[in-house]
Amino acid sequence: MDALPPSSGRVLHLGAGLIQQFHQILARYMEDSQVRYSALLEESGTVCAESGDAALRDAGETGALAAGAFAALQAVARRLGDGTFEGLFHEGKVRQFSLVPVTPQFMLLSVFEAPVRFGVVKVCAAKAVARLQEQIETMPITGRGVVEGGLPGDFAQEAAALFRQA
Amino acid sequence: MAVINHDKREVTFKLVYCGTPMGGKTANLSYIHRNMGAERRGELVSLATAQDRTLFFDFLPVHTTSIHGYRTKFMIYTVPGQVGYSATRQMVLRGGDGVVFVADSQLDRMEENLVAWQGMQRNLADNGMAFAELPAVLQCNKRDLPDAAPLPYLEYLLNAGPRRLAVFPACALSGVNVFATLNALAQEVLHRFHYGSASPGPRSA
Repeated sequence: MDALPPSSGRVLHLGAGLIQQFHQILARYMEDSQVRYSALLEESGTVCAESGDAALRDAGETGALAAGAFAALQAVARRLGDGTFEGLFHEGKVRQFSLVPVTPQFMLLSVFEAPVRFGVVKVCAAKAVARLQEQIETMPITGRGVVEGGLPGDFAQEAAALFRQA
Repeated sequence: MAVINHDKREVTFKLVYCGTPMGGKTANLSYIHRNMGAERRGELVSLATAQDRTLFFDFLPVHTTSIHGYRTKFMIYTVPGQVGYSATRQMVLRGGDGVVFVADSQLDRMEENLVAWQGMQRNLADNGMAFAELPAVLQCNKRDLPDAAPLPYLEYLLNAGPRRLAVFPACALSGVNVFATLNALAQEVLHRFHYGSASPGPRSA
């Protein structure tokens, strides 16, 4: 497997302004393509922005599975000699979904149903991806979580006993 | 990679349980899932074979109380331990903010412990991740078994390098030190998140 840029120890900052930009892009994408739900996922499956059907909104599990499936198929493609992985598409009886890469660390999840066609979704997603890429380039990534105007106080000290049994 | 969502006031981290095949990684997650209030955790997702061996990963999202108004979420993964699943392990480890290495204390599993330990280091290196800088703790599981190796022996085998990890003797099935292990890693991760560097030293159980 090819080495990827290390992302451990880095902190991705999603400010309110940036999230608003993501939401606008997703809203326009949904309007153009008529998908039911779309989400911008980080490589670990964290939902950075989402739009559409509230029933499909994710508590974490779908994002993690989608990110895992995406990464696995990408690795398979690479091992089979295809370095230009363009994403994956599931054609279900009730619901379809697609996952396309936005940058090496982000992907776009789209969920849709008949009569929306995959071809239309693919074309509209390509436009949305280009817009998302522009915004992602502006995203601050730092080596720590506390930035000016960010989290105040001693975050770690206050987390003395994070987990305990119910 | 940690993600701060200033709009939702939420910080998300990725924690990964690595370790020896059949060492108890999934047992740790199952115990956390069973014993944490439903309001503070999501569903445990397991991608396993019919024999309950982890095929791809297990996943459990949990969150803690708010700190300074920011909800802290941890996405906890396990990886398959078998030697042949190195590519899968490397994929799941990518972007991890901290790791627990779950070792099997049984005397006849020492070779497997060492192979898994070295495999994890290799997977991290292949991802461009520096183990020396990654928040990590060592859990010596199955301490309740009669053939458990002495703890100093396990430490000599796995924790004698320049970096000493916090060590937790545990029994994941009954829950001994399961939450202590998770707490220790979470605090190391938060320390690094806050200060941008590793915590000063190990705080074992």
